[in-house]
Amino acid sequence: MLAYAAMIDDPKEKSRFVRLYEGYQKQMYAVAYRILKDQMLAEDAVQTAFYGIAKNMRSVPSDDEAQIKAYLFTCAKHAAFRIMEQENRQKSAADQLIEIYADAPSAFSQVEEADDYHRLVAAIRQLEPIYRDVLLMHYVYACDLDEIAEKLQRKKKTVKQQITRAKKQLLVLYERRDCV
Amino acid sequence: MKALSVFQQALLDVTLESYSDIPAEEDIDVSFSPTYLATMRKLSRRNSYRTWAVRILAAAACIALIAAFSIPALRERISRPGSEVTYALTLSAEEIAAAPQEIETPITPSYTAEGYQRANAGDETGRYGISLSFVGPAGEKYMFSQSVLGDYAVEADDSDGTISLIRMVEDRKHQVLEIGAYEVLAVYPEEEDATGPVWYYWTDHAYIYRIYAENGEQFSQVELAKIITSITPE
Repeated sequence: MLAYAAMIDDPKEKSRFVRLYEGYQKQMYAVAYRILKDQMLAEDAVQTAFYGIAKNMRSVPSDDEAQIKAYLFTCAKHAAFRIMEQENRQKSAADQLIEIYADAPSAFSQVEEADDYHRLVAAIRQLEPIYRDVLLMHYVYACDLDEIAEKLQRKKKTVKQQITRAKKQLLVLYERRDCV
Repeated sequence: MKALSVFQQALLDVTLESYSDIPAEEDIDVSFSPTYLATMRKLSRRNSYRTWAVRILAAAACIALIAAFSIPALRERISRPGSEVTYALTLSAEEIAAAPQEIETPITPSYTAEGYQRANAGDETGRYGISLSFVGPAGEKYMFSQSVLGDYAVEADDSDGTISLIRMVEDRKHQVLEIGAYEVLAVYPEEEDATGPVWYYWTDHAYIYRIYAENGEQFSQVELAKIITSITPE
């Protein structure tokens, strides 16, 4: 297997990578195991997640523990989903979702600029997990499509579609009066 | 750190909420497999000395057959050449898991080959390995390394639970030399050229040791035996 740290040229980034591995590998394993229910597969998922992280260290938040944790756990989760798909030879449910919100108006800026925290939380809670994750990567971690595709083990085209659907679905959920 | 917008904070908080059942890192009791530990150790490795070690191992894995040479002062056992991949220095998974995960005790040779001295410039010391360089009167070099076993766990045999440390590609012939208490794997270059580089590997079941000699004839087998049998904790 590749020496992943050797993929990182910057000594500071390499050191940061080691701290991430030493500080979160068990929790990332727990996230993956929760999905895969198999130690070997969960270990593979953690390794795959760290491979993607090593390739894009600049996308990893550096200061806030909550952001770091959400980022790493999301990477581990999607690495696990990918392995599960390969094991089960099934398409993920997210890829099969019907775009029921296709006609929703594209006024997502009102969600982006909203200041009603509780209403946002209530709407996001109802969002499909895969859609929440692509929005997280896109809006919180400022990842581009290639980076999100790498992290979530998806095709770039799929990620692009999922971001569009996610925004539309969240907009509808946010605009619904009964979501709070 | 740039403050998050309300939307970004809401996204982050709901995401973290979905992981609220994951225990703290220190509260998770899991025994990772030796293969996972070996892979992740390589992944988290910091030291640049790995660069030459990886290159040497990669080269060692590509060597061809060479005729065995006579070593009157040493007993030798010739490994049977074959057309399939063979493995050497095989240990049980339990031994590898029980071995130190870091260099807890630096172990280095107290004997330096005659005419050589420490190069110092090529020395590296890290959590997972130690590398010492020696240079001879004409500038020829040899290197000694101590590494953790997990770094060399290359192949697991599910039938008997063993893990091999060195992988030999097909149609290679190597020698296993019995030097002192050790079985030393000698790996030769591709060409039938005794002057090419040679690698020597052995293990005390706690660590794996290597000597890389630029030239197979730069010191005698007696000198080699003196170096190998002189390794002691620092």
